[in-house]
Amino acid sequence: MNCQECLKYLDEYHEDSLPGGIKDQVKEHLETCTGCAESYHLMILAGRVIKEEKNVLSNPFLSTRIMAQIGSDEMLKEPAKQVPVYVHMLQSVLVTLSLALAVISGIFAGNIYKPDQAESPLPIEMAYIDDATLEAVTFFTNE
Amino acid sequence: MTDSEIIKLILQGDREKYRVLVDRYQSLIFRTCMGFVHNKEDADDLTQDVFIQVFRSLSRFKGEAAFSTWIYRIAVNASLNRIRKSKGYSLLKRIGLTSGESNVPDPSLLIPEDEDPESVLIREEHHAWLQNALDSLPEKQRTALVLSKYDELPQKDIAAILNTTEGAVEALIQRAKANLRKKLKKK
Repeated sequence: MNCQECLKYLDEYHEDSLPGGIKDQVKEHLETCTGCAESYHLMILAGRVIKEEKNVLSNPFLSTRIMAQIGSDEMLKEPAKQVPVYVHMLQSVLVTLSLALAVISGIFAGNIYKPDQAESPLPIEMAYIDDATLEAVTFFTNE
Repeated sequence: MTDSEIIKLILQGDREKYRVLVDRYQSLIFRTCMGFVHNKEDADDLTQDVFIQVFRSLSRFKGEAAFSTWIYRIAVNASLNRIRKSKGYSLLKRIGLTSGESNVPDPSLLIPEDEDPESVLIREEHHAWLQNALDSLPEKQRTALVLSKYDELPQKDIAAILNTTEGAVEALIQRAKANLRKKLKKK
């Protein structure tokens, strides 16, 4: 018997459910092959760990906890009705329109503002001053 | 009373009948969850989540498959989701383990029946060792192995739960065992 065959039969060998001939061959192989023997030991160990985990019992109050949660108000509520597709579309359209309205309002408000009118008007005497006829600054400083 | 009859009564408004289903399947589902999370508290929480989810989805159960198949499917999906969520934690844990020394327990130290501190420590070490090997298996192989080893379900039932053929389940279990052997030897 080779290693591949031996590994294939390990489970049945451990459960003692192999026919006599094959069982003897597996036993013989395990006595001579250290690799398969190690696999067999690891399999036994893993089997014991699994058995221990299987023996762990659940919380005895688990069913009470589940029933309490089922009976809570949250669970009694009907599931929310599915919102029709057109409502989602309408929401998108409304959001887009709101944004467009905001932009247009901004442009309109900007146009209302007139900077020329906002400045204080010049006094009438200053309006007729022609800078070409003004005296040079030195005229005053040399005096 | 059959599962279908109980479900019918529950859907008619007799919520208290759900307790019968919970009592009927609680230990089975707990065992499945235990096979995935390896921790009593987590398995309890997960089992509770599964039963709440089943109750909420009860109206969608068409009876095309057995109720047990359906509830196992939900339990497997919930367990895999839980594991995926805690993947970051597991990854760190795995990195920590791979950087350390080999933690293959000596087969001669097989767990004794008494509960002295040393044997508790050895037992915990064995659990961590197997858990890490199991956790590193691909999801399908792991699921097939858990349903086969923890729940001792026949391949026919596992095939129904995984929505596949018995041949595929056989192949999955064989591959899972071979991978597990390799991983156990490595660690």
